[in-house]
Amino acid sequence: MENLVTRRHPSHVNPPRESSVTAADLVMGLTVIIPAYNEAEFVGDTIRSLLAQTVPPDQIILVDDGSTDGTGNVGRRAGITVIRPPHNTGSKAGAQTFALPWVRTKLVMAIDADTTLEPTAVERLTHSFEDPGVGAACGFVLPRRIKTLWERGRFVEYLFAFTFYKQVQEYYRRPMISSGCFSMYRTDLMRRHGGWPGRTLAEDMDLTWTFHQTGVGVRFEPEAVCYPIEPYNFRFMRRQLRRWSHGFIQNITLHWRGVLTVPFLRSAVAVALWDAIVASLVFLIVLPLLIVALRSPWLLLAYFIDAPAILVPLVIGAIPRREFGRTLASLPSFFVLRLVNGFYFLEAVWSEWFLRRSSLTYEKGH
Amino acid sequence: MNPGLPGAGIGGLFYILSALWMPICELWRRRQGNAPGRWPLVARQFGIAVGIIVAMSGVFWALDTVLMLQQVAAHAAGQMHAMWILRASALAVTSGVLATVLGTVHVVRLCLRLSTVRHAAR
Repeated sequence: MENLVTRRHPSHVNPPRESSVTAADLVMGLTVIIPAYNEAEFVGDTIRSLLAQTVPPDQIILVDDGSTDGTGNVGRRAGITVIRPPHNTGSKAGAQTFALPWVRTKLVMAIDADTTLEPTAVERLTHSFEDPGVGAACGFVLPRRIKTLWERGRFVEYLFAFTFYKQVQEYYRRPMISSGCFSMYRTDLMRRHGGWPGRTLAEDMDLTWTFHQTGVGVRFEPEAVCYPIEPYNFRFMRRQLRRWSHGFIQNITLHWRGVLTVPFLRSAVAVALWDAIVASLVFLIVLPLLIVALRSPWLLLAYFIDAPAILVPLVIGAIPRREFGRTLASLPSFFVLRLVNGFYFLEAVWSEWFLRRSSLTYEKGH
Repeated sequence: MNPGLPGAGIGGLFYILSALWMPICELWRRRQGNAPGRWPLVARQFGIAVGIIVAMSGVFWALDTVLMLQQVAAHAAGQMHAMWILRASALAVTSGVLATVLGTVHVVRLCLRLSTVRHAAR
């Protein structure tokens, strides 16, 4: 494997002084940052997938964030730049921001250490930046492994949301989140914002909402597909759901005034919040009480009465991917995941808004 | 990351209405002369929204059929009541709640703007 860094940018291996780098110093091209903590098992696939792109990045930086499993060695063997902070930065946002001073290209991409890409993903995502008003772009996300109940539930959730919700958001030029597992940004913009913010547990949502409020364009490119490893058991899923739920509530607390000024986004956020709270209450408290009070098993239908509505975008998304059978087989898992998701949303609302206990401990959950 | 509970509640209705609005919006943008051609996206999302409406109409039709069978076979008042709750919550209540939530967002936005203007005037 060739060493892209030493071949193309030999002077960039040493850490530069951030203050010395201006927007004018940035050169055309793309740098990829891979934040990693104990990802030796998966990061090799991520690097190989990046090097196999139709438009390969000019530089790949692996941030070995205090790993103890030899993650950095995987990167060194692949010939990419490996940097290691003096101590664990505590979050993905921290690791990515640590790497930002090394970036000398006009575009920078962040990708999770357990995520692989379609060979054309980088090329397609780069096209979004032909519009000078665009500051961030993200792609279509699908789980790489679809075996367990949790992975299947997530597969259906992503296929549904990225086929329908996210594309509607894209039409109105307001994608709600430029997904943290695979997103591209203008480097000078990221520098101006001080990197990826670590003030919430959902740095991708924080950044996207900040961009929308400041008039920076965010795009969703459905043909740029990435495949992260999703939580395969309840322990990891619980961590991820807690992080996302708390992150969502924290971002609403932080941005609500600003979001109100952004057309479409304000409505999308309001309905998402309403559903996260009220639908969760209905599923977890109201319906069980009604079923007992009315002694009617018919009310159980309410848990999956929207199955046909969910199936329509699923079928449209699954057929071109030839995953119709797997999608149908995975549908029941989605309803289980939705219930568990509802529980963690309510827990996050209770903890963040009623108990005033803001969780900022980043727990890795894939 | 995917906030909210996809498919559940008023979110689904919001995105259906947004998708149904897309052709009108696209026509308007073309008239203004500032929109790139995004008809494939519009057609696809409009089709999905129509498909969802047809699918949910099918669900209601099936529920009606089951309800009629129940009436004939069981005369179960509790179950009739339960079916009514299901139908009402699925459509009428959802539409009303969505309108209320979106209306509230605009009211809060206007209040904030008024408050900002007052502060600036002082």
